[in-house]
Amino acid sequence: MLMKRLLVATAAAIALWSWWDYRAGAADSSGLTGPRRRIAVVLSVGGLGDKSFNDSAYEGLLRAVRELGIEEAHGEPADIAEPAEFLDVYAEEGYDLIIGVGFLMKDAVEKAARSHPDRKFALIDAPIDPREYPNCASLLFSEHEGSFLVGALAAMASKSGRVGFVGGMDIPLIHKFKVGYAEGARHVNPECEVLVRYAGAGPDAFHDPVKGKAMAETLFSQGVDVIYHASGSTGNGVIQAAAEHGKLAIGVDANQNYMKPGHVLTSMLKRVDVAVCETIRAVCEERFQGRVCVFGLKEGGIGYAMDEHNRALVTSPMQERVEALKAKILAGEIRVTDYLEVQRGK
Amino acid sequence: MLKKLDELSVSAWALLAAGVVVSLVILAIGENPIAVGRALIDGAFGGPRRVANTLQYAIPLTLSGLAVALAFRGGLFNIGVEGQLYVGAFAAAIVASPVASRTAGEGLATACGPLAILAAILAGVTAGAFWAGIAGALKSLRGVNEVIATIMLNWIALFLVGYLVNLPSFKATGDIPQTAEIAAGGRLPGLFPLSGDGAVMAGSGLLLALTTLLAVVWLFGRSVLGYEIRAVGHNPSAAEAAGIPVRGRLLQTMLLSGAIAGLVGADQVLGVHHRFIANFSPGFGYLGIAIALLGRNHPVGIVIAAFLFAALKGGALQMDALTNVPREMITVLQAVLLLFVAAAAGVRARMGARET
Repeated sequence: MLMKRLLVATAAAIALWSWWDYRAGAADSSGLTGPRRRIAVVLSVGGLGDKSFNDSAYEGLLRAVRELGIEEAHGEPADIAEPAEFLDVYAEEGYDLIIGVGFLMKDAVEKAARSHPDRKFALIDAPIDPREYPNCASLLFSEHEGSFLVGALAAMASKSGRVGFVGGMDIPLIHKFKVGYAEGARHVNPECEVLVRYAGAGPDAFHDPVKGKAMAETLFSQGVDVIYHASGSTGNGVIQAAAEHGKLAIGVDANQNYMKPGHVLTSMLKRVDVAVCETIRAVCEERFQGRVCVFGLKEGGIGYAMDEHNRALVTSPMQERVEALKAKILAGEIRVTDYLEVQRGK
Repeated sequence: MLKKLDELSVSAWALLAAGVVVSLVILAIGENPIAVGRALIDGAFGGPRRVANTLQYAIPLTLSGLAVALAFRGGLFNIGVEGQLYVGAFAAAIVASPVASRTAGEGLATACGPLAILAAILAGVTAGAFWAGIAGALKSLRGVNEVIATIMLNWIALFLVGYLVNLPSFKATGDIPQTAEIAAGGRLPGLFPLSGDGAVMAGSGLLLALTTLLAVVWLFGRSVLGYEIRAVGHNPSAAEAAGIPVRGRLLQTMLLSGAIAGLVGADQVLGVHHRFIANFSPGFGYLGIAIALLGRNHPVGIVIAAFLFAALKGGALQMDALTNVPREMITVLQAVLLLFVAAAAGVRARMGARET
């Protein structure tokens, strides 16, 4: 009986104290609004540490902290209902711009943009109609152009005339990488064969390195000697397999050349960091608009990685040739097929 | 009843102790436990939308806790709630979604809302019961250990619905493996407004959870079936000697447990996501085991435990969004809590043994 009374008394004391403390906290937090811009990023499921997509977005946010002096916050959703909750929390807490990372967040960003019309939103990798959502920018990339360039490099490096592609989810966004890659490879060597595999049909396909490794090994056994992956951390398995079998892999999104030096031919750079940082800059300079922004070769949003880790793999004639192709794309002499545009046209 | 409630104080003491331990851990990583506590409370209850989220999250937790506890009372350990809720969710979605009604002819969901909702709930409940019934039948006919069978069936369920949702006849257009959105008339309506303008509503899944709760209380408190299930749970040989058909009761226990699990899935589809999405559950079925343990298999205890976990979840998200304390700290809190509950139960049992 004494125990029970003690328990009730302790519980009451804690409740009273936390209420008082909560009130005190609510009072002092109101004085915190300064001229600093507050920017939040909601990462895609999988979170930080993927050495690719999410890490790249976070790097852009950190650069904005350094260069623009913003205050940052970032959320890592643990399940599919959480992106929407994070967006709401940041909108309610008065963040100026909230960036959603990844096409899976499209519905959630649209919904948040509708219920918080006074906040600015941006979504990476899927288009949102700015007429319907004037407070929402979509940040898209010309992945087909970068994939074309690494495809050309793959065909130049391949001795067997067979190159491989490992995709994450079997969806149009990933087909866009594959189509550009195959066009680049065939531009260099019209006889080049492109063998394609996908890790699966659900979002898990983007973080399954074990499957990535198994698929890469199958492709190698079929005579492929260079594999380009567009599969998030599934690709870590592809790169691992390339190193173990003495073949070549091509990284994606971030510069992955360092992961297995000598076995990563190059990486198709998708500068999510540039898109994030530039969008934050637009907000700071009061010129943010709800519109579809495309980051391509011209804007420096897409490229291929050259550094000390792959200098021995890409000879200077190879690099000159790929630079010439890049110039032709920029000049409009080569038009790489944008699979998503073809899809929309249908 | 009162004696049972007294047992719940074990969980309350465990919560207190776990809070102290986690506060020390937070201090050790150089953060302020008071600020963390404030973010937790604010995230769970600071505003109508957060209250609605907390209430909504408590529904599946209460139900799956009840599903686990019901089986447990009958001497069965149903680890398969996760798989059962997936099967139930998918069944509810194809009955409610316009994709299914297109093949059936007239738009079922749009034509008659309440009937469609009821049909979808029934489909979910039936499918969940069926899935649990497989393990139940294996147990009662062949004596297959239900722990193994339900764990295996979880994976089969997950991959089966993952395959089905990608079939052209079920999959919605777009990149995500999900069924088409259920029309507004086929969704669970809001129950009561939480914000002044009525924009934020509490989900009517609360009503489903409450009804189930009362049904479980009635089952074990008033019905012959509930009495016999408990008898089998306490001592199958004695129950058999007393003329209770043990095999039949084992199967029925699993069916009832699975039916509640199916209801979890139906509520998620009809009340939250408004469609079936592959891998939608953040492990409700497994959390149910923790909640049944924390609530000591008592219906009231389960409700309290479910609301505690739901509040922690909303709070954890807020904490992750706005402070530097990683949300894993909440997982630590939950784990420490369960350890204390399990340990306290052991200590109590020994003390009880010494007294007699």
